[in-house]
Amino acid sequence: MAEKARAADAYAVGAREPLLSIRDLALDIAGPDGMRPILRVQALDLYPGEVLGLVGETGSGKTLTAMAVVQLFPTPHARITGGSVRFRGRELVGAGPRELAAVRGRRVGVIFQDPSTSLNPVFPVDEPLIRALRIHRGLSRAAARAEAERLLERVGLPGLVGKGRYPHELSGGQRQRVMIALALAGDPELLIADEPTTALDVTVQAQILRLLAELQRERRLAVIFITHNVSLLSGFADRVAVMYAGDVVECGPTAAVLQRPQHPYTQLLLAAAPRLGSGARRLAAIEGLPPSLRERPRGCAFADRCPRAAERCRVEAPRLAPVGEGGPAGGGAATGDGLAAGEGLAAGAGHAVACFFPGGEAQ
Amino acid sequence: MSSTAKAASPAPGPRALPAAARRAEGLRLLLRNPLAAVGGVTVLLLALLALFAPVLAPAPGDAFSAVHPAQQLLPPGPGHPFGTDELGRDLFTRVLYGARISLAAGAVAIAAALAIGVPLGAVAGYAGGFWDELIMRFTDVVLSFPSLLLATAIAAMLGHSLTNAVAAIALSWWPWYTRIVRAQVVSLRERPFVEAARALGVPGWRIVFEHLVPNALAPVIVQASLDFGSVILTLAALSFLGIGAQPPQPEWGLLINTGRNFFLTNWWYVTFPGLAIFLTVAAFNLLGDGLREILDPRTRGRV
Amino acid sequence: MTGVGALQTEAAVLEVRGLKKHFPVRTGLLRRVRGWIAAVDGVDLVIERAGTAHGLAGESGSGKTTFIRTLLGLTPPTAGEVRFWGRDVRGLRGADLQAFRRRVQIVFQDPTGALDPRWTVGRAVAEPLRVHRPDLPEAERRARVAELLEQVGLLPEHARRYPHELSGGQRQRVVIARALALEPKFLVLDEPTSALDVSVQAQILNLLQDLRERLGLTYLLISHDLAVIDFLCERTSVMYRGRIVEEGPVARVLARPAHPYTKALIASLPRMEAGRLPEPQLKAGGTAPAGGCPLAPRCPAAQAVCTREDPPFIDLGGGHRARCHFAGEV
Repeated sequence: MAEKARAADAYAVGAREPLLSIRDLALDIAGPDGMRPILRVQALDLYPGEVLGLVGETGSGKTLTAMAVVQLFPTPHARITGGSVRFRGRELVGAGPRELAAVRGRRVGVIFQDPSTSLNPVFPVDEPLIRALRIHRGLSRAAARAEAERLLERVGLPGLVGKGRYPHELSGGQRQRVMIALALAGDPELLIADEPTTALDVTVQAQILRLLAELQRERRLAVIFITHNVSLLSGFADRVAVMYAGDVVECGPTAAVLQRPQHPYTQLLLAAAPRLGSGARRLAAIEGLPPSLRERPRGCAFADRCPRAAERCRVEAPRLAPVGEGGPAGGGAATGDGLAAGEGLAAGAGHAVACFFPGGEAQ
Repeated sequence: MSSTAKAASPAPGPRALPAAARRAEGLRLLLRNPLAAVGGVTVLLLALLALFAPVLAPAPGDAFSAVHPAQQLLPPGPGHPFGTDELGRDLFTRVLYGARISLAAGAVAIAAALAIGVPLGAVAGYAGGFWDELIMRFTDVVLSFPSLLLATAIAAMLGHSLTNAVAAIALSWWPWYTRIVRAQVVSLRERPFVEAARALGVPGWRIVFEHLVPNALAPVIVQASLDFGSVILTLAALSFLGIGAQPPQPEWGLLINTGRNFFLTNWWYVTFPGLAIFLTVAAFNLLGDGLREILDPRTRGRV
Repeated sequence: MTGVGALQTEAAVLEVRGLKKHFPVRTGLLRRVRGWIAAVDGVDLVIERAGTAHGLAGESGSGKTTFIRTLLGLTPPTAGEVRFWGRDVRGLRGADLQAFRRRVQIVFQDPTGALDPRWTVGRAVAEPLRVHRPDLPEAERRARVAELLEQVGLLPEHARRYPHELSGGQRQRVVIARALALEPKFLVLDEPTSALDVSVQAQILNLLQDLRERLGLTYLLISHDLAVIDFLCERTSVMYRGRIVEEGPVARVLARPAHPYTKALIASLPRMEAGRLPEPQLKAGGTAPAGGCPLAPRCPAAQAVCTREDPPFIDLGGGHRARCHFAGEV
């Protein structure tokens, strides 16, 4: 029920300007044999106060896509070579260092996967937080301390300021709470959470997810939640974007994507995870491997592993297009052929898929 | 196997990179670092010069005992590019043959130091406990003496000869490798593939020499190539002091020792052996620095 | 062939009794022992029948890793015994120990770390053969390696590759092939898929399912993911702070968990169809009371008795039991 209301909300915000809008983003990494195309993201929109789940497997480019906003890439030699990343209406591709610095930390907070390596072990845990508050909000030391106290208490770590506690004295869950406080220090509008619970135990993961959901609601944060585990998004994300081989292959309201997946990759991905009490003797495995980064296929990147691939899929790359109104499988002719110029917003909030033969039986 | 064989990925996989290509990649990285490339090429050149000294030298007979009273202390000129010494021998020939001595002696000394140091370090790191303590405390004792001083003492004790000087250097040098290897092995020991080998029942000595040592070698190779220069310098120093190579061997340090008597009147006598030492030491240092970069997994392994 | 070859056929495949592993806590300049940490604190675990799979669920710090290392004889236990096919593992020496190593193998969590980066796949898979069957001719060894690679869904050509040239899933297949080289009877699977992507995890889980049926293997599967245990295992144990807190048939434990920790684990599992966030049922942190139940400070159902008395196992019938004072109450 709550799911439905949220989905409706997502459609409603579609009328507004997106906070973040990515179009035809191209990102390359320099290798010994020249530039390799890593990302070719057709379209991705994020609206204010919305939680977007960015799902994909290792190497699908989900982290690089999200990080295009702050243009801090975990891989050296990565460069944006084309397309557009608009944040609050301003173009960030080609923006100067000053403009990017204003975005980083201040407008956008980032939480990383491994809290044990993200905190400098030689400083007490309250130290970077106080420093961030002074830099981003221009607070005095005393005011920053008070604010740090408040923030840490909010994330469930009361009485930590001035105690000289070092990262190694905290548990993994506590360190991730500190990272969340740090990400919120600049009072951002957008929070990028990159697999924030992957390194944690399931019982701790449940706590951290709750905390993130609460903070998102309280602060009306827009959140990009990057994960390889689709199940985490149920009940948390308003919309889901599924990435494969550097592009978004399907996106839409969470309930729509999880319950009526249209792209064969999404369908297989959802079926591949073992489910409690299913009694299944075999799992739906996706055979083969994602395409090599050296030689990108001309057609659909998933064609080699796709049970539905036809001749067309190998020669022509499908464009992200709205799923037909008549339900799944309906708009066969209308999908895969791309967005018309004015269709961007509708596709951003609605259910869209990049496949010539969407729908079919969800396994 | 019918059902699982289907799960095979028929494609050879995206990350295929044959061993030959990896070597080529290493060479490419070396050449991209200009200073390292200069070092590498110089070392190669020195090795070739040393190898072909009998062919290249204008007067191979002058390498050891020979006297040409008519040609004493001639300045550099046609026929004698580096001039001649007090016995009329061609200095270019002697410096060229000196390269043979220095490079060979350096190689032997380093190889011997590695042969002692690497196994000791590996055993100390893998066994831990008592053996670790015993080996490392002894290593510390040896390291507590400056290596030149220790080498001098050992060389003086063994008697004055080139062979004994090389032995003295090896005996004072091995602890460095022991330390490096031990540190590497201690961190490698906890890696899952070592635990996996133990669970397979692989005996300890095989784990040490088949898994641990090969994985620990990269920094040792870097250190050894950096040390090559220092070893040659130490050998020259020992010979200069009279406890290394003995006349009439054309060892560089010995040449300088004799030449210093003529320093004010016949500048070329000390200059050319000195330059040879400088060039060799510098080349090995540059090469070592380059190797450090190539073998460092952080600069390697980029996708 | 020797030693363990003389099996007591009626004995359980694996029988662990009162297994304890304590580590000293040393402090100060003299490294004096100040106390002991009980990583494994009296574990009983029995796998009766060959060809079955037994799950061991637990989070980090539950002592799973120490338990396995003690089980495999990689570290000596402080107390208790481990019997495979009726024979105590502790006393094994020489040929008997080698025979044990052949029969009991392990697949590690991180396939990248478990392979020597400088060894080709072929050399890695051949390693157990070279150690345990040194008389095997080179050609036969190579044929066996090719056969093993095919068995796990790889191609013989993969033998020439280095681990970094393979994907994570392919590496895990190599690790499994190496574990199978000596035709073991028992495989310890230590989080075999937690480092892998979902689609690859499905491939590996299917493979493990196939291999078990085809080769009649017995599994001990360690995992934090109850869904993985549910997929592969018939019975499971749940571990918390070095002890087993609940065990029984998987379907029963999952459907009617009796221990608050098991309940919390199940409630924490994110589920696609749930439409809501997983429920964090345990409170954070807290030090366990001496003599009481280790879960008491975090337990939502803790009573006064829980901080005073260590609960015994309560039998719930059908091979299901739980170590909680209130396990019997519905």
